[in-house]
Amino acid sequence: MNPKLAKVLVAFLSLFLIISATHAHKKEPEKIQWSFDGPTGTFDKASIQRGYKVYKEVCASCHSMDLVAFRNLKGAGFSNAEIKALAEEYTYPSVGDDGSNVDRKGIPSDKFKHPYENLESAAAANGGAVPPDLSLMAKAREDAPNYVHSLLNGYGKTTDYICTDFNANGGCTAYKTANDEDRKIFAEEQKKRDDLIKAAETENAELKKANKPEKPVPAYRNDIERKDAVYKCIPHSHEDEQHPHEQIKDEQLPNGATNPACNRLPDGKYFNWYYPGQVIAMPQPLKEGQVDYEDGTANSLEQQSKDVVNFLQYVAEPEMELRKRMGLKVIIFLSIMTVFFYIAKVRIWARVK
Amino acid sequence: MANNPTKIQSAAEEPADPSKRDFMVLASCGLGAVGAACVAWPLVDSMNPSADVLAQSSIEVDISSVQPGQQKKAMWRGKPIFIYRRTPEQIAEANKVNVGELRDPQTDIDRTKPGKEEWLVMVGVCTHLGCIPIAGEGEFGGWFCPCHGSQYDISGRIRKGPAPTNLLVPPYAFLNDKTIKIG
Amino acid sequence: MSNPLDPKAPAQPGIIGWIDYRLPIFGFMKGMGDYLTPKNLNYWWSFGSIAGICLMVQIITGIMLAMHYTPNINNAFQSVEHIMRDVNYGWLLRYTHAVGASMFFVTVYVHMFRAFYYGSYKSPREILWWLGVIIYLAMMAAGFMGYVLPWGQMSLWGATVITNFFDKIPLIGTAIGEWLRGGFAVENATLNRFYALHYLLPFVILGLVILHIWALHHHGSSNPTGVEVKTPKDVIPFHPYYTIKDVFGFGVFFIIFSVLIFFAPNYLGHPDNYIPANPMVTPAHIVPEWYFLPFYAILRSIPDAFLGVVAMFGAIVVLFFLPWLDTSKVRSSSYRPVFRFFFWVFVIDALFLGWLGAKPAEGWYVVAGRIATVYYFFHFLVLMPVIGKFETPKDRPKTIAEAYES
Repeated sequence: MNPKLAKVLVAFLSLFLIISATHAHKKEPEKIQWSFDGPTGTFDKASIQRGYKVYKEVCASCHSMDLVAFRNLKGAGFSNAEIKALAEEYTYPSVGDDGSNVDRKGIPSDKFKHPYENLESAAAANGGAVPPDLSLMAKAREDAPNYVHSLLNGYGKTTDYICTDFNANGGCTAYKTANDEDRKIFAEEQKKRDDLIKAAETENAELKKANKPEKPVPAYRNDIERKDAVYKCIPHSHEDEQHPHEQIKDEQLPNGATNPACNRLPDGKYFNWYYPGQVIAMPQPLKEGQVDYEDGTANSLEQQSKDVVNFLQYVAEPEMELRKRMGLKVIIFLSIMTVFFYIAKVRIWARVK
Repeated sequence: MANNPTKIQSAAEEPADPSKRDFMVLASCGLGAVGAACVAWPLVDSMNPSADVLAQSSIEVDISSVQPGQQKKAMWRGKPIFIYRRTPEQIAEANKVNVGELRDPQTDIDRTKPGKEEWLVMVGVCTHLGCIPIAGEGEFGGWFCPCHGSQYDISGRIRKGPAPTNLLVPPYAFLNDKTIKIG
Repeated sequence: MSNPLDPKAPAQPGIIGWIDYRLPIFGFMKGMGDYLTPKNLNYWWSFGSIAGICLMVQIITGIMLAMHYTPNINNAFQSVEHIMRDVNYGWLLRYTHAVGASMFFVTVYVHMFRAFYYGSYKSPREILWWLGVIIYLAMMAAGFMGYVLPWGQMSLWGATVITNFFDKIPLIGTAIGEWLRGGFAVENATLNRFYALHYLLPFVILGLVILHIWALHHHGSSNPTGVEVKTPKDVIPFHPYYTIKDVFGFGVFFIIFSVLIFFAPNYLGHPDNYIPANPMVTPAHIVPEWYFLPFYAILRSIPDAFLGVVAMFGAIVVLFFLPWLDTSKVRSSSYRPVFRFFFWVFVIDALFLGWLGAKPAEGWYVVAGRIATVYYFFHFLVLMPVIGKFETPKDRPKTIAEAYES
C-alpha cells in the first residue's frame, strides 16, 4: 500500500476511534440469539405465552398496548376458549339500554385495556413521563429486542456519598461513601428539620391572621439537612460500581458551596446502564421470581425478560413467520424465472451481428 | 407516427430456428404470467373484509332484560337485528295464519328455535329496498316499513306491500337462557 | 398526429384490425417495438425501464393502501397499523410501498449517474435531461410527503424541519410557511393536504415520463460510445432484443426488492417512525430518509439557515445547467480518461455526503461536510468546464457497428 495513503488511513482511523471513545457512556446492548432472528426465524410460542403473562401482571399496570386485541393472541398459540376467558377478565365501558354508563365484559375483538383514563393521569402517576405504548416497542428502537432485554437486566447501583466537612457558607467540602446507618441518621435529621420548619410556618400563618409580626423560619443550615444531602453518583463502569472511591473530588459552585463532581442521579429517577443518558424514569420493573409460570419454567429475571421480549416481538410483527415463508418462495420462484429470462435473452441476442 | 409496414433495416437477422426460440421465450412468459397472477391475488384479496371486520362477524347479546311484548335491537355486521319477545297471544296469532296464502310461505315454527318460540330474531332490514321497519305498526301486529308500505306480521312475514320475502332470520343460537349468539 | 385527409390503410381482418382501424393502439405498440435502438447498449441502460416499473409498483400499491388509510392526525398512525395487522396482505402492501420508494430512488440515482458518465445530457438531449431532473424533483416531493403520512415521530419532525425552511425566506417567509402548512405548525391541515398531493404527484410524474420517453424517441437513445447512430448496421429493433433484456433486468431487480421486503423491510427506515407523532417531544436526531441525506448534509454545512436552504436547492438546480457546464465535445467517459477519474471522485463525494447526512452535526463531521459540499459545487462549476476544455480525449470509433465488432 502507498505509504502516503497508509498514513491518511491511520489518521482517519484514529480520529474515528477517538470520536467513538467520547461516547463511552453509552453501553451497547448485549447481543443474544433470538428464535425469530434471521431469514428462517420463527416464534417461540411457549415463550410468547409466558411473556404475555409477564406483560399482563407487571407491565400492563403502567404500559398500554392499544393496537393489540385479545384475538391477536391466536397466533401465539392460545386457543379460542383461552382467549375468550382472558378477554372476560376485563370490563369495558358501554351504554345500557336505558342510556346509563355500564360496564360490559371484554370480548376477543376488544383491544387490550388502557391502564390510565388519559395521558395526563398517565404522566401524573409516573413522575411526569408517560409510559410508552408497547405495541410497537420491538420496532421502535434500534436493535430493540436486545435493547429491551439488556435494559430489563441493566439496572445498576449508584454510589451514594455523604458530606463530612463543611465550609463557612455551609457548602460541602469533603465526602465519603454513605452506608445504611448514615442514610438513617440523615433521614431522621431531615425529618426533625422539616417538622421544625412546618411548625414555624403554621405559627406564622396564625400570627399573620392575628396581624402580629411573623417569626423567621429556620433555614437549612448546611447540606446535611438539605433534602438532597445524600448524593447519588452514577458509576462510569462496572469496576467503578463494585469498588467505589471513598472520597471524590468536588466541583466549586458560584455561591462558594460545592457538589460532588460526578454524574448525579436526580430525585425520583433510576440508574440503568442501557437507557440513553443512563437516567430512566421507570424503576426496575422485573425482579427474580416475580411472575409464576404455569408451565413450570424457572422464573429468573433473565427468563422473564427473554419471555417478555419474545412477546413484544410477536405483538409488533405478528405476520413475521408468514412473511419469511412467503419471501423464501418468492425468491426461489423469481430466481428460476430470472434464469429462464437470461437464457431466452442469450438465445435471442445470438441473432445480432 | 405513420403505420409503416415495410421491413426495417437493422443489424439483426430473422430467427434461424423458430421452434427453439419459441420454447424458452414461451416458458419464460409462462412463468411471468404465473408470477403476475401471484402478484394480483394479494392486491385483490386486500379488498376483502379485513380481520377486524371478520372478528365482529358474530356477537353475543344479553336478552335477560327483554319483557314479553318488547323488542331489543342489536347491531350485527353493520345491520340492525330485531330481537322480539312475543306474548303467548302473539304466538297463537302467528300460528293461526294460513301459510299457503303467504307470498313467502314459512310457518312460525320455521322461524323460531324449538322450546324458545317466544323469541323472534330477525335482520331488521326490509327485503324490498333496505329501509328499517318500525315495530308495533301496521295492520298485522308486526312491523311496518315507512318507505314503500311493506307490512310484516308478528312472525316477521311479509303480508302486504312490495317486499318479496319475509324478514331474514340470521344464523343464531341460544348459549343459555340469557344470551344468544348471532352469526 | 395524422389528418382526416390522410389516406388510411384498410382495416385488417379480426378484432385487432377492427380496433386498430379506429384507434391505432396496436400499430402504436408495434411502432414502439420497432423503435431502432443502438445494438451496443449495456445494462446501465436498463435502469430507465426499471424506473418505470418502480413507478407502476408505487402507483398500484399506493392505490390499494389508499383504500384503508385515514389522513387525520387522530387516526393516521392507527390506520397504518390497521393495514399492517388486519387488512389481508396489508403488511405486504405497506412494506412494498415503503421499500419501493427506496428502490425507486436507487434506480433513478443509477440512471442519473449513467447520464453523468456517458454524457447522455448533451445535445440534442438537453430537454430529455431537464424532464428527468423535473421528474427527480417531483419524486422528492412525493417521497417527502409520503413519509409524513404514517404520522410517526420522524414524519412530524421531518415535515417540521422542511416546512421551516420556507420560513427562512426573507420578508415573506413566515407567510409562505403558514400557507404551506395551513397553520402555525405541522398539524392536521398539513397532513390532509400532503395526502391529496401525494396521491396526485405520481400521475404528474407519469405525464412527465411520457414526455421523457417522447423526447428520447425523437433522437433515439445514446449509447456507451457516445457516437451517434449513423447506419442501419448500428441499430436493432427494441423488440425483441431490449424487451427480453429489460425483462431479465426486472427479474434481478425484483429479487433484490423481495429480499428487502420479506427479510429486512425496516432496514432503510428509522425506528422512531414507529413512535406516534408527539409535538411535545423532539427525537434525539432528526434524520430524513436516506435518499435525501446528501442534500441534508449540504444544507447543514452552511452556517446561515437561509443560505443553507439556497445551497441545498442550488445543488439540484445546478443539474439543469449540466449540458453547458460540460464543455467537452466528447460524450462518453470511456474516451475521457481525466474526466472519468473525477467522475469516480464525485461518486465518492456524493456517497460521503450521504453518509455525513446521517451523522449528528458535531465535531469533525461539520468540517468534513463543508469540504464535501464545496467539492460538490467545485465538480460541477469548475472541474467540468475546465476539464472539457483542456482534456485530450482518446480516439472514438467511427460508428457503433465498428465498436461492436472489436
